[in-house]
Amino acid sequence: MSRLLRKGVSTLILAFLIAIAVLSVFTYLVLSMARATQIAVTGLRSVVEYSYKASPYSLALNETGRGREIVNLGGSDLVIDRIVVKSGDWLEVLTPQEVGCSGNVIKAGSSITCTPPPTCRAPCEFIAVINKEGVVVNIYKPLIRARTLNVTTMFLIAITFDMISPQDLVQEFNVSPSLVAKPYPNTPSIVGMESGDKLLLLPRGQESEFYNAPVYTDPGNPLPFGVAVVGYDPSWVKENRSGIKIPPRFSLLIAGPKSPGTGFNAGNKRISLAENGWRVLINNFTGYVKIWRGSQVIACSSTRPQDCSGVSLPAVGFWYYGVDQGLNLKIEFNGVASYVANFMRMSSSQSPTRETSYYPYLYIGDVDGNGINDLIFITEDVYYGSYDKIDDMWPNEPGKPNDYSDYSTQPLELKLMQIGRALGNQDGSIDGSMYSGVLLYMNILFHDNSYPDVNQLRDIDRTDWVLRVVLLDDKGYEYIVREYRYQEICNYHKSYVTDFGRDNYFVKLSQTVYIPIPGPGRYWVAVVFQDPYQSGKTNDADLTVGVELIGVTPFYR
Amino acid sequence: MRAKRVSLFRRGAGEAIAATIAFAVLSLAIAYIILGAVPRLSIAPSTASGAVLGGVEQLVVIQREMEVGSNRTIVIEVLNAGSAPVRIDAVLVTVGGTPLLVRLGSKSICNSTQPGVLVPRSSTIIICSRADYKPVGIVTQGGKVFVVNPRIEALFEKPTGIPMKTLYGGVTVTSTSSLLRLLYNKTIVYSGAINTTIPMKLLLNKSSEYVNAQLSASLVVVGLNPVNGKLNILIIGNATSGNSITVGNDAVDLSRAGALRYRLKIENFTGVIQIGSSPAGPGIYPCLINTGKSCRVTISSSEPADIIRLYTNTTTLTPQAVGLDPYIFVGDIDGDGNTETIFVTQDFTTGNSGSVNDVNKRFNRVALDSSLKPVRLILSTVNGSQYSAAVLSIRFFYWDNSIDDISDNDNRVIVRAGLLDTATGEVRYSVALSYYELCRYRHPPFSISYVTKDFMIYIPSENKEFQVFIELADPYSNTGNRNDADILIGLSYIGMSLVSR
Repeated sequence: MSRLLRKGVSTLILAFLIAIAVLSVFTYLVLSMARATQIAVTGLRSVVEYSYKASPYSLALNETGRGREIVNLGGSDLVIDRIVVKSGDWLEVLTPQEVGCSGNVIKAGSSITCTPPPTCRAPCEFIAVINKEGVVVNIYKPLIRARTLNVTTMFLIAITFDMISPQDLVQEFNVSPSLVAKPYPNTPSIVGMESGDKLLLLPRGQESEFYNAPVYTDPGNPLPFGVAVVGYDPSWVKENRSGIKIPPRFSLLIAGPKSPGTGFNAGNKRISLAENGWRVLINNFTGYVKIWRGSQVIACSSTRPQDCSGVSLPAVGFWYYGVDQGLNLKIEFNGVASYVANFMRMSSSQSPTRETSYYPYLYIGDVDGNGINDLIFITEDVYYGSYDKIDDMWPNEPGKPNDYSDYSTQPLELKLMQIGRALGNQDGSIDGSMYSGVLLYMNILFHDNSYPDVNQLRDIDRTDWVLRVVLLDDKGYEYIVREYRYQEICNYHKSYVTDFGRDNYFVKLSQTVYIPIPGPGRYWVAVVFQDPYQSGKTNDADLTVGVELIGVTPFYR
Repeated sequence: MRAKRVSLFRRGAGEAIAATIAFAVLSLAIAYIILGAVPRLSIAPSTASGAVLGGVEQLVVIQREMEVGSNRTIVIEVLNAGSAPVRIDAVLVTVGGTPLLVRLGSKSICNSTQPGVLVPRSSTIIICSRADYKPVGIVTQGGKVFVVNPRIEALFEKPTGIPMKTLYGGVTVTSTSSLLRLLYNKTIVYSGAINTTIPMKLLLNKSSEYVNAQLSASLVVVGLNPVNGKLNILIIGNATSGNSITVGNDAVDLSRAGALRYRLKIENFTGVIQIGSSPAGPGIYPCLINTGKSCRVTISSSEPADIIRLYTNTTTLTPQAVGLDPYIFVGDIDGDGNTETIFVTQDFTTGNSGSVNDVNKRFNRVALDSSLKPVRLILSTVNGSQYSAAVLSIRFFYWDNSIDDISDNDNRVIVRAGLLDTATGEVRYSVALSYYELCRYRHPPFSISYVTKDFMIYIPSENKEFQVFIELADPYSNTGNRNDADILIGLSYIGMSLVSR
């Protein structure tokens, strides 16, 4: 029995050993295969997981100037941890704050804008965004493809004078404030205009702001005047354009020689016009304005149409040389207003600079009733003349006739900031690397007091400009593109009119000026005015120069 | 008993061997199964690594138009925007709308300019040699498909020019009859348009008749109708003895009927018109103005003319209102295929501030014509909610009969253009040309010099329709020797560019 057992045991042991050997080998094989598979499966899973995390994010980049807008076109909100940026030749990984981003969450379908600081050197390219989970999302930068297009409309930037007061020119047209400041006496910085004799200043107490105070000429005594500009008040023009139909309000600029015994009433004050010649500005006037010729009302404009029944010619417009015996024009107004300024002719010692500003000489309002404000620069006050006398002087003035010649010491430059702003630059400049030029359409008007018109070139024989279109660059250079000299522009107007209603001092002139832009750089277009003619028998004209509308069409390079 | 032991041993060994063999067979079988499964298991890793590969493949596909040889074909540019190298296996094309997969290769219809592996940040262009194959996408070796993605492209649209719509020009109008449809107030053609000191009546009004005439004329306008090559004619003058006109069967002794003044209008005339001694082509013939003498005009039709209207003076001595018809002419006067519309109040002579400008010297009668209503043409309409401004480009010529201009005439408005409120007829915005500007565009004696001016028109921001209009007027009748100009103004072209709001 034991021998049998021994034989069975040896067989068992042998079988066991063989089994172990075989099993070991095969176990090893299977395990290693399983491990390999598992690694591959795990790797696949993490790739799948990663792709799953990354796929909802789809970012596109929109570059405008220095700004970088990142748009999330995907379906999930993206929380930015870092942004990968190419600064110069280096790739940098920066926080959203370091890159100047407006936030660190880009909601699905929305965008954030980043304005990288100058430390991020050009091209400052945004490459990718890393989110809080460590997922790298590439930013697709759209490839710009130029495609030519037949368009049905042209691109034109319309510039209008949508403002209330000459001081608004500072904000809208970057005019130097000292050129349009209110000319109170002893104001240290007002500049721009001088006069043949006394300066037009605004003494304290001669300026009133009311809430609808009565403003009226003496009943039965309309006011004789030299020059009157009657137009729709710019604040009413603005309201009217927005569709609110309200009765019209007016703005009046009236000038005249010394007129003892005359005056008008504003609030509870009497404004006497007996001094050395006067110029009055009345804003936001509700009431009627009538122009008398002799004993008849020849023109009338009113907030209430019934005030003007029987008179078809509107008072809105320009009226020159009322004091002339052949015309004998007077103005009557009765209503309420919110602002009255009585500019007075004073010795130049009352101004530290010996100059006054353009403020008294600028009128803003709609003078032809077509719904757009006109900007009028008017130095004419009282009368006309030719080569044998000072033009703006009234020979029949009581006492010794005053010299009302006014002229510029510095031109009034209106920078057309609206062009650059419409093209995307906050500083109003035009990018010379993108645009090769601009085409300017202008509707302008002109009048002067050199009369008779057939002799005006003898009276004004010194060639000088009154209106200019210039191009300015960022280094301070000024290129004169188009200059309107007196001798050219004077041809289009008629100084003296008697046949009111049929005859015209002028109609708007439409002018087109092409302005080429030299090359890369920042440029501004400016329209510049001046009255270059001072005093004397010749070369002493006073002017009316106005702009109504400017249209600008830029041309791509 | 030995045999028993031997067999026992033999039995034990045999069992061991049998067990071993069984195990071996079993093991081999298992091994075979396992090994057979291994390839399947190893597909997973290779798929996984392929998935890994596909997962990081990021290509951008953009469609372009390129010059290939002498043709412009659609190609695709493939940019590797990811961080892994990619091999492109095939191109997805559309052939007439149906998609097709084309393998890339040197002998294939579609080829890549950079065959092989596309490394990150590099790009290649795939061009298909067949013009009808439009590539739209690619398939990578990793099995991933990338197609043209519209969100990746931003179109920068660069307009090629400024669009200008021709409102008047070419053959917009070809005759006075076709001008009628542009007139704002059509009744003025027949009455109430012009105040004249020598009123006229319509003596003959015929259509489709032969016309022959011998006339003494002071001013003749001949223009082509570019559509049919026939002539439109306007003859102005005062008739002298021997002047006659025969229209069909009607003969008129013009020396009696039109001694003070006449105006003859013929539309679509075929035949010969002779001015002086030679046949006349299109043009303006200012006989009396330039030579001081009337011209002899002879007309003979070879075919019936469409319209013949003869206006002759009445016997009235006081000014009266008449229609516009004899004062308006339509025709191509310079043969450039563009018809001009001419408004002419000029008849006879010139003058200055010391005389009345337009006089029939033979009878010492002044022939002063002035507008009671302007000639207003409606050219187009614009809606204030769509457009904010317009630029009108106008080409015209102007002439008047005043020698000393501003001394003779006040600064009245002659041309006006702008916008009318369609509903109320009110002029909402206008630009104008007044006498003081226009009189500088003409040179005595008479010549045609064209002027082109651009006007910027402001369109009110109101949701209503505005009519774009131009109007011409002769505002001068007379006050003694002044304000008595008569004019000749010709419109050649009016174009409009719109600015959208």
